[in-house]
Amino acid sequence: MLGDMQAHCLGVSGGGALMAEPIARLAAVSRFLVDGSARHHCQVLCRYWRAQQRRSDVGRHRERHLLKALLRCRESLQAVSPDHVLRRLIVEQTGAAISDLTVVSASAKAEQAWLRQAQACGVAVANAARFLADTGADTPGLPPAAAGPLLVWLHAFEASVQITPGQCGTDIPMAFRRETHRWFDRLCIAIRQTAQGKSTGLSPELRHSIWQLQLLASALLAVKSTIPCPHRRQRLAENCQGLIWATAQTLFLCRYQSAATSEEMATVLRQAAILSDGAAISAGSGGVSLSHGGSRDGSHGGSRDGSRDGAASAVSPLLLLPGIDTTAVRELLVVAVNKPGVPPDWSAVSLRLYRLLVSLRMLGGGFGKLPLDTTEVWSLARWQVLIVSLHACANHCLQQSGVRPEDEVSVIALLRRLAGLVDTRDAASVTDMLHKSLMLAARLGIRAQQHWQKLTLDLDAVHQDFAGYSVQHVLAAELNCLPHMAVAATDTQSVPQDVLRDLRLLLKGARILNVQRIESFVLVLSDVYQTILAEPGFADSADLRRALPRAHRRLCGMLDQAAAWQSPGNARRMINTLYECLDRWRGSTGMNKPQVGVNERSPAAENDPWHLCLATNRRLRKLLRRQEDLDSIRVLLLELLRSQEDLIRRQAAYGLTLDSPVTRTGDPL
Amino acid sequence: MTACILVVDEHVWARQALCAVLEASGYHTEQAADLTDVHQRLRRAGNNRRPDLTLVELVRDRGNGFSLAAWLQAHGCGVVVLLSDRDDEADHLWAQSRGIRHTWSRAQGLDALRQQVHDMLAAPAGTGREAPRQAQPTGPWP
Repeated sequence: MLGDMQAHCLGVSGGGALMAEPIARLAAVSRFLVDGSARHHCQVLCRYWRAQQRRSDVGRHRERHLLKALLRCRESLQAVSPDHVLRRLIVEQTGAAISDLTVVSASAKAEQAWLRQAQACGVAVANAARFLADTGADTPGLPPAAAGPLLVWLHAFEASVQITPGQCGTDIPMAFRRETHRWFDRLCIAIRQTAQGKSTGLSPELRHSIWQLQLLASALLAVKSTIPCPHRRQRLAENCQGLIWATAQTLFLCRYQSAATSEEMATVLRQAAILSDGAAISAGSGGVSLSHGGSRDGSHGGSRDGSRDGAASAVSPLLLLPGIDTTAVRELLVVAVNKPGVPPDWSAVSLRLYRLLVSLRMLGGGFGKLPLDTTEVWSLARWQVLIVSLHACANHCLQQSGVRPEDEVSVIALLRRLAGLVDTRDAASVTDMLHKSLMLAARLGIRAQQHWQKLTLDLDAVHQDFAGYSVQHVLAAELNCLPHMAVAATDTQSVPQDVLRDLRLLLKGARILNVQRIESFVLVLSDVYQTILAEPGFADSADLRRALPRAHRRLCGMLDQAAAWQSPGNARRMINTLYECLDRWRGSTGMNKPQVGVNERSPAAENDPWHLCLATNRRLRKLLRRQEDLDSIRVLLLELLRSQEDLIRRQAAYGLTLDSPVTRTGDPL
Repeated sequence: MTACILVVDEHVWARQALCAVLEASGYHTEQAADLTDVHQRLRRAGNNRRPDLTLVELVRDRGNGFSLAAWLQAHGCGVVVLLSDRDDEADHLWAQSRGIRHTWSRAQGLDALRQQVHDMLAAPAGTGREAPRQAQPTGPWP
């Protein structure tokens, strides 16, 4: 407005008429200026102009005088007021105190020193705040002595100094606020315990607190529509998304990086404190915005300059898709979206997502160009979290670990949105999608955990081999003999007990994970090793010496497939071969004399499907007769029946019978 | 003589990107998508140019990364490193059970991976680069 007035003033003629309206507006607006000096200059200018209007002779010197007053007015408005300087100083000091307080230290002594420092800073800034022009009655009292409340106090203080009173507060429903306070306190305690060395990395308590805070933020986001004021609603959404992002980053990205935990935890703590207090921090005030989480580029240390997170938060999240081939996303959509009603191939979806994640991770160091700048690092980190969470969802669907049909639909919808995102780059929908995929991954994760826990409790109640651990981890770490027996199976005579121990563990694990092919194979191998243990001579029989290394190689291959989350191939032929070895051994030792017809068959008849079918049938009968607990061999029985079915089907396809070896067309063979 | 690194991965983009970075650092690289490719390359190169280091991607569409890595290790393809970004500790544990001592992630970017390669190849024998325990091949796959 003053600029326009200056232009009119410098104009040759007609300036007087054009100046009337701006002068009237300036007179009205200047009454609301906090800075007294600027207000005075504006009012002087307006008075002078009105006085000149009443005079008829407008000389050159009067125009100059008017211009001078105008410039003085502009200068005073643009000048930094002492109040502004003080305010900025207080905000900087408060920010520094918050940063000191949120540093998670491994030393309790250092922690105490930082607490004292933050408290002293709190007292100082509270005293300084009395000199601010608009100090109201709602200035917080003395800072509390404990770390958690002090952090909340500092955030509230920072917000009250930065924000105009009308914009402060987010109207969080009381129940949510209470709950957020509770989990924030727990988080503080868990962090302290971690810092004091009572637990290392992300302890279960810490993870639980972080997870609860993420859930709360998500729930708050869901009820934000109950807040009538759009400005407050917006601020609450930003704070919630900030907390969701910070917690997700901590839980996902720092899973195996304990070194980065301190920084990530500090961000979570800050976000939780903001939400817990219900304060909203303006993005424009003092360059401080926590709405998109903390910084990854060490800006916590640099927060004292009042510009922390500024660069990163100015960028819309996920706006940039780093330079990967976007065809990868389209390929993903092709495998994810089948015909309506047909479930997608989750294995293919998981593979595509994994490849996308690898591509993103490989870009982390700035491959193919200069190192990534702060904006790109932020964008990349968000993309990685998004793809990691979608990959986790797809894997839960693949493993069928308590996943419901509606969850599968949600995952497919998210994958479709991902493909759309590459085209539109719509930042708002990206943030929403990130939030949704994180929540879905977490929900599926919890349900999968419950699913496996229930199965483990049912099947591992006595020995408790898997108590408190993931079945996959126990199998990967505890199988001592089986992974090496692919070439060393001939040494098994010396350690059948160890092999049996491995087989028992593997059998239980396969049952819990419902990998039936491995389960049935392990049952037969257990039978073989039990026979070796009872009759060591069996291990020296020629056919077993040939079959056992092959069996171990096959089992190792199947375990490799299961470990890589692939579906193991079937081992029916190997199962039948091992049973033949057992039958032959038992027949030769007279333990269980086979039928004469089978014994007297010619070598050519051994490969005859009808004979194989007959042998399978006898095995089934023997198993049923011998076993008291039929449920334990259910899978093996099914496998043998399936094998028998294959043989019968093969014969039926050629239209052959034992008595009339002719084809369906009637031609003799 | 520059070290030779074999990269076995079905994902063409990832394989080429990794090889480009390693070649820019002065290493000689060979690429293969699967075991058939590896056979061809080894046959072409003969026994004179066996890889010093082999990087094998765990997650594959066809075949299996664990089995492939174990086979390559058992057939003298230098130190075999399994690449996995599934962030699952079980991968590392199972790889060790199968005799593959090193499982790396690309979470820190390609530059960090290049540094790991450099450290691995620069390490004197006996400090982590020694011939690992004989891995167990599991058959004529993948």
